Amino acid sequence: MGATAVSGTSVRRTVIMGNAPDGLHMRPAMAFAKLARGFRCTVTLRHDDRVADGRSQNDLLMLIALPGAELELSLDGEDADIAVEPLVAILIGSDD
Amino acid sequence: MHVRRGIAVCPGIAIGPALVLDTEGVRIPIQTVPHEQTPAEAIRLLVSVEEAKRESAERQVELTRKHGRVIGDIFEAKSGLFDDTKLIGGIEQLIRAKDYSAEYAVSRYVRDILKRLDSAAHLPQAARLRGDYIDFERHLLELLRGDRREPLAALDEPVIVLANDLTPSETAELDPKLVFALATESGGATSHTAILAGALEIPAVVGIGRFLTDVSGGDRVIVDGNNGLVILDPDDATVERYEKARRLERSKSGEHRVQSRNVPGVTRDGVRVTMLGNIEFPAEARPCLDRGAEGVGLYRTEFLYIHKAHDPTEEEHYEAYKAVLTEIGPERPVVIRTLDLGGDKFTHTSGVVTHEKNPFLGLRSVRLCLRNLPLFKTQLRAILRASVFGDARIMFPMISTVMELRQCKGILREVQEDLEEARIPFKPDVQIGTMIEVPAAAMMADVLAKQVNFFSIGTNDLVQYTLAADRNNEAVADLYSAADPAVLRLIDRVTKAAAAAGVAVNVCGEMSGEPMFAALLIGMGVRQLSVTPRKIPDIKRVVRSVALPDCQKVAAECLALETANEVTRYLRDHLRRVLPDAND
Repeated sequence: MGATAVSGTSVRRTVIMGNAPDGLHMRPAMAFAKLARGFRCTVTLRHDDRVADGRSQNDLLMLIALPGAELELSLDGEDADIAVEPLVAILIGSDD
Repeated sequence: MHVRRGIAVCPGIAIGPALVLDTEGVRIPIQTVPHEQTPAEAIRLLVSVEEAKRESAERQVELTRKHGRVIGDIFEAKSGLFDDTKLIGGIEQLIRAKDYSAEYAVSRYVRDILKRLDSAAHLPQAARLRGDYIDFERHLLELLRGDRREPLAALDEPVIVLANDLTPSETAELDPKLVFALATESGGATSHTAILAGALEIPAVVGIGRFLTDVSGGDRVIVDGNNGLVILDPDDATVERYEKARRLERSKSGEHRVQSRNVPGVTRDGVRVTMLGNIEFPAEARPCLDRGAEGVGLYRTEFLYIHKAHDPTEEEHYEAYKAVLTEIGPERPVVIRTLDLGGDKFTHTSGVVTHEKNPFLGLRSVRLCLRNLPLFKTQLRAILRASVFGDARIMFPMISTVMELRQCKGILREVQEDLEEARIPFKPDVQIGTMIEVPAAAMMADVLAKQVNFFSIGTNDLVQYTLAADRNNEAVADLYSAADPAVLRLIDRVTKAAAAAGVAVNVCGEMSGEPMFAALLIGMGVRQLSVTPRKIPDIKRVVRSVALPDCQKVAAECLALETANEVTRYLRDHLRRVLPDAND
């Protein structure tokens, strides 16, 4: 699942996109954005040279992340350490 | 600036704002609003987004109830886009920063997203997302438009119409004065869009492939119907170059027309070839004569039926025919084709079967008339009544068997008797003809010839039925060719049968409007060519440049060739020899 770096209230995590057939498509993107909006920390997701605001479903979709894609998740803010696991769970597809 | 290439179907240059039609209707071409109105536009956007959210939630409940959770969830995921404040904020920013109307801002923003998705088009995910974003856009646009769904008929400024394809009912709604040009993603050289553009004499390019995602309503667009180009968002230098070309073109076509009007259609060695015009609307009669037509070889009457809430009355028919006959004059023929509806031609007309698996082989045209006698008799009665104003001739379309032709003539006789009884005047010796557009009719031409005064070969359908290739389907467009030897052999058979029976032959399909075919058709014995009015000057020029023995040689040699490509190459070479500056 990749390395985690914690520094104060910042969390970085490298995640491999799970096996949902369409990758980061409508459903996981909506679930991810909805969840991200519930936290106070900023949520940023990178794929190749593209960067998405984790609270924006549209941004996430524009990453066009297929199954197996390598994603970099960055969280900044007081509840970053609480937010990270449920967000990662959506990406690796345990709920899809 | 984007340049896209398609098939040039009607020459000329047009520059203007885009009106983008999709299957749902029209995207409004209002691009910007006065700056002080932008806060109000932003509010319109946000109100629509809230409304979209509410409607989506309702729809999700309904879908879940009907189809279960899985479907409901998928729908919920799509409507999540309305909750995306960054996305909505981006659209709002376009309104505030660029004075865009709310509709244009939505359309513009989604265009950008689609463009990004198209750059990843190799991924299956991108293709599916595309549809979801189009739904998103459509939902917002529908709400923004509210009830003011602008039909094509309500245009109030001239536009360039861009569409995937135009249906005949949409084309019937177009006001030629307000449409500068047409450009479509699909369609071929003989599609309805092409025919309509020809009739309206407006520049048109078809078969461009997908390009509507690159353009929003109101964007400036150039259609170059000479070279088959559509230029989206042109730069100023390009606009200027085209403006100049357009002015030049206008003055030139004026001269060409005057020349054509003052000379007869006759070959170099004195063989008379009558040039006739194909028209659809009474208003085309005058332009037809202006371009040197010696009559109307094909008057299509479908416009009377298309897009009407009721069947046309006898008086509606009568007024239209009277107008054309009066305009054309007592000495010149006007060949009125009876209803040729069906196939792809949408109609509200009663008794019309609209759901057929294979409409082009179904109940259309004269077959439909023979099943709906009141409809048929109404039209025949009106034509006969109008016949006193000139040389009206009646032509039955899509005849496949001699039985059908006999039935048509029997019904015509009944109508004549009714008129006699009611002492309503009509010309008793109105000429009767049949279209030859079904291969069966071509094979039986010698038998059919005994029943009529004239034949008119409808090459568009004849080619389509002979080669079993839909003329609107790009995938088989290479099969569809009037130059195919099978088609030429059928035409040859028809002209020989007609000559033996002393029956006149006219050719009225797109084929007769292509300069390269003129010599071949004359060589096969055709002495009447009926074409879109704007093509009359060009075809007449070819006729006046050839001589009969050479045409007969062309016919003999083409009939001996084996493929459409060989015939096309032969005819192009021949045309270049007789008229080095003709465009083929």
